[in-house]
Amino acid sequence: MLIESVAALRARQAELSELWAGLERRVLVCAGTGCVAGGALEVHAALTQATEESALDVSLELSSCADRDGPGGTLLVESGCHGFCELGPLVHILPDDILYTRVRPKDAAAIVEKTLGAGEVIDRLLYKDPVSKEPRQGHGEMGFYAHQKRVVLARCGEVSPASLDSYLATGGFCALATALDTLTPEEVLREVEQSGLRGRGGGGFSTGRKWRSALRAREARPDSRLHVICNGDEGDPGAFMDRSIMEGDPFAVLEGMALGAFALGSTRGYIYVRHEYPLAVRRLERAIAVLRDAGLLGERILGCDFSFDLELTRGGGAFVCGESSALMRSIEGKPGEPRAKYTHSTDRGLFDEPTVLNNVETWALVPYIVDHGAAHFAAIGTERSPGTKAFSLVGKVNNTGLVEVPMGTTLRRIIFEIGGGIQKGRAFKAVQTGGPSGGCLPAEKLDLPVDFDTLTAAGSMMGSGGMIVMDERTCMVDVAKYFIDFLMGESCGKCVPCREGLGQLSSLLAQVTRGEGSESLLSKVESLAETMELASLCALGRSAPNPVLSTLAYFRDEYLQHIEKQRCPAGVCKALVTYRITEACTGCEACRKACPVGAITGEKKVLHVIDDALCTRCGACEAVCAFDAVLVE
Amino acid sequence: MHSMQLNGRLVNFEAGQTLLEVARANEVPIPTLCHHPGLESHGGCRLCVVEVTRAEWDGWWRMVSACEFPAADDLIVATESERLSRTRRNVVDLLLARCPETPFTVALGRDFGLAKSSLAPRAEPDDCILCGLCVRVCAAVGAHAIAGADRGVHKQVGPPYAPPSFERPPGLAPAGDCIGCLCCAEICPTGHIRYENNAQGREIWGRSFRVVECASCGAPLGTPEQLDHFAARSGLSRDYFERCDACSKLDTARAFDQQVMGEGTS
Amino acid sequence: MSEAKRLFVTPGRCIGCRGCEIACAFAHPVRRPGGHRPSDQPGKSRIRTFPMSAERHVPVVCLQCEEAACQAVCPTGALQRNEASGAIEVLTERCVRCMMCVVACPFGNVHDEPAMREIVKCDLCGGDPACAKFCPTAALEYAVRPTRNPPPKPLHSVAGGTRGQMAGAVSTTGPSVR
Repeated sequence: MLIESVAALRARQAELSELWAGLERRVLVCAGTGCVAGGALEVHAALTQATEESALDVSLELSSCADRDGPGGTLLVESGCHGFCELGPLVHILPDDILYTRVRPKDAAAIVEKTLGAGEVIDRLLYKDPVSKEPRQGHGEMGFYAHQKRVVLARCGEVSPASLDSYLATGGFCALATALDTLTPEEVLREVEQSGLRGRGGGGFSTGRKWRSALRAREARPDSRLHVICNGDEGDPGAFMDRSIMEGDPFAVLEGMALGAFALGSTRGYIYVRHEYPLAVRRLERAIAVLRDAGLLGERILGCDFSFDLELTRGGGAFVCGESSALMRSIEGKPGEPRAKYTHSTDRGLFDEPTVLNNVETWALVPYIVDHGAAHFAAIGTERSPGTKAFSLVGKVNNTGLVEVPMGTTLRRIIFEIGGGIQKGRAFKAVQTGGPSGGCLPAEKLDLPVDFDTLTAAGSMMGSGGMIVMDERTCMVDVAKYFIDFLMGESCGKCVPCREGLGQLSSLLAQVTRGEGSESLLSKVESLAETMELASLCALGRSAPNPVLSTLAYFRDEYLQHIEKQRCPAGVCKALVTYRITEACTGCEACRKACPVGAITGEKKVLHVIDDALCTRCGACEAVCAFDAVLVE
Repeated sequence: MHSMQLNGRLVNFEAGQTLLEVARANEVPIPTLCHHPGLESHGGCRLCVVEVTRAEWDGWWRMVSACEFPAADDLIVATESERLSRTRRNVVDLLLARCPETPFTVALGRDFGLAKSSLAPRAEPDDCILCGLCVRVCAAVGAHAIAGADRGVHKQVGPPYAPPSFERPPGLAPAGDCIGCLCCAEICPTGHIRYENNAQGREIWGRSFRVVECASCGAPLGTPEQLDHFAARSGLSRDYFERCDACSKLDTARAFDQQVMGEGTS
Repeated sequence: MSEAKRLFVTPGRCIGCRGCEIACAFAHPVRRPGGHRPSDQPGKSRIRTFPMSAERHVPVVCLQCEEAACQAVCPTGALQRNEASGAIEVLTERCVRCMMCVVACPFGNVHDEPAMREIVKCDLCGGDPACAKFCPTAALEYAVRPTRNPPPKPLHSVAGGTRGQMAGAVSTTGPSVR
């Protein structure tokens, strides 16, 4: 439906907001990638069928609620990621705030009949606190949600990402409407500058300053165009913040880009999304089409003198294409190799023209800033790192998922209050922040506030918001090697220090995990790391030694134990550990059956024995043992 | 006139020059490997790193590649330091580990005081140091027939899956990629790119080419693809590409003589 | 501003002594590949004198065409005019030896020099061409206009104003490329 003017947009927003407010209930089936993998679409289908068979007044779209006499009714939709991926598929019922976890299609009838029909809570589907084992009814009772502040993720899990109506009903495009009828481009730019927003992609560069320099560069070259680019090539292992935003609130990203284009006088934008995010690609493509139909993208948006359109480019799966200059080469159709940024991309970026590249989260925050004002945004978080930050909290924590907290929140709060502490009551060992080329911080750094500058000073970095928690059973040498190996495969291979240095670091670390080498090996590692940090061409290479350097800084003793005592304290490095069965063995034969190489012998009810010569240290026996009788040492 | 400080000396430069160009103009040596003045800077080998700072940077400095970093007013550049020597030696060490037997890298190692690499040699080494000169010369020639494929330690150079669609001068037919000009092999510093070139024809990158001969003496001129490509690229008539230099010179002399004779008799 | 000097070729005066060729070779000694130290070995002569009959000899050398084919075809910008001397020079460090200038020059005045792995052509010796100095009969002259008078009609007078005097003489395959 074409919206012809700003006034028409506002009228439509008012109408939809009223419908939204009048809804009796909303049932949100999480259709984030995690829950979809768990069968959320089937759950949604089953719920739809069950409601059709019931006498309940249920709509699948916001606009169809209007057809009824009077307000009310229930809206049943597939929403974006709720964040609590650990226990998907999730169904959230509002305003009752009932969260059902691990829902199966066969639960649909009960949910419709009992909860929607009779208002009863089904206890068996509720989340149970990992410590107290008590059921928790909804977000309000769960530490995971209670300690978050959702700004950029506000709509993720609240609305249907496919529905422009829902976006409009929840304040969407208010910012663009305001910009078009009351603000000048300069005022929008100043708002972003004053908000203190810093790029969420990792570098933490001031967004306002980036925009300002691109604008100046374009003014200096009147014949050039200015491009805006959204970097959706999130490739860090264990990171899914941007993915969730693109999947859960695609319109916010697009509105943010339109606002940027308005402020900067750009007519052309690009969204670069990695190929491995098919759902994000689909939802963004759909959202772009919907906005074109609505007249919110394209020529003369809302009848105003502002034209802007977007193109979606899919990345081919190279991690390095998340690096801005490589990303631009890739959009141009060239090999995704970074180039030296001695001339900033704000001067010469895409097609050698002034370019503003921000990541998904940054763009999605722009409407919020324009809507609520710079001062409001700047008041959240810390002085130098205002606002909130989304993290994907993964690893050995009880609650893994997508979280958003104000900048300055301590690591401890994120890991222990939101994350619910370490799994199986084990001890916390380290948290890795900033993606593969971030660093590992030990327990004594847990009280550090999470912001751009503090993490960098501690030898790690903010990165785009990946957070991997490790427990005492994690070997830090092995972790460092994992990340170095990842980067070794993902280095673009253009410059020598990064390409060859990572290969050498990997083989040096492999020696450590085999208990070989000496202290001189560590100084070789440090010397190479210095060369990589100083001389690599792009940020990927310059930060690539971080996993080694930070683990060496905080866990040097663990390296020395490997080298000097041929011991892996965490019991991970296969060459240095042995598996042994203790007296606690009941002779249940579970491990004997689980062993893939037949290294375990023993009769029923007799203590089993592992033949060390045959054992491949796969850990299968330990995993199946119900009596903790397998000892790794 | 622009000026900056180079190793403590005030030097002048022209806008648009790189640090390497300024250094060379002032006879300050900076080692390079992947640099070629006729081709786009690559910044891949990192041998030409130098340290730059500014008075107002308050002691902060950064290491940059001289082949790419633009000279700027009041910049303070150092081309030698303990740190730079260490960095360059490590870079050479890495290359030597990559190509332990290649005469070129062995000689380079010797220049930097390394008899052999201190690092683990590559398991199955070839002679390619991935300097990217071949890829860039191919792009400069306009053939775009080869590119870096794969990433990281697996990176190698070769013909891509499909003809690239970018940076081809308009109006030029989408040439079947390699034109057999041998520029890549000619520029390769380590002799990694193998080829055959004899009276029967040329062979490179798994393709065979016929060789066009001089219309007068039969001397080999180049492949038909090469001559067609260069004619189209330069806008010259294809007739310009029919004879070798020796025969053209003789033709010129004859034409000249005819003219002089003609004028003499008229 | 004074008028620029040019190299004039007047075949009618040439006696075929080939002193120009020797002068050229010695003025451009071979350099070792990679290095820049000249050796004692003479290089490839850029000029050549062809006997047409017992009496007639024609020296052929680059006339630094206004719109030169060699320059047009070069992919790396390695052929650049030295505005001081008027010569199109090979900037060896920019050259990738694709050989196209060698083939493209319709007059055969660009050569490959395998011993040096370089492309060579007449550079007017940087503004003081050795060939002209050694020419005993002024068949080769580096001057604003030809000096001595007698013999036949100097050839260059047919071409008006361009640097490519010889090009004017063989106008059917003239050097103008566009």
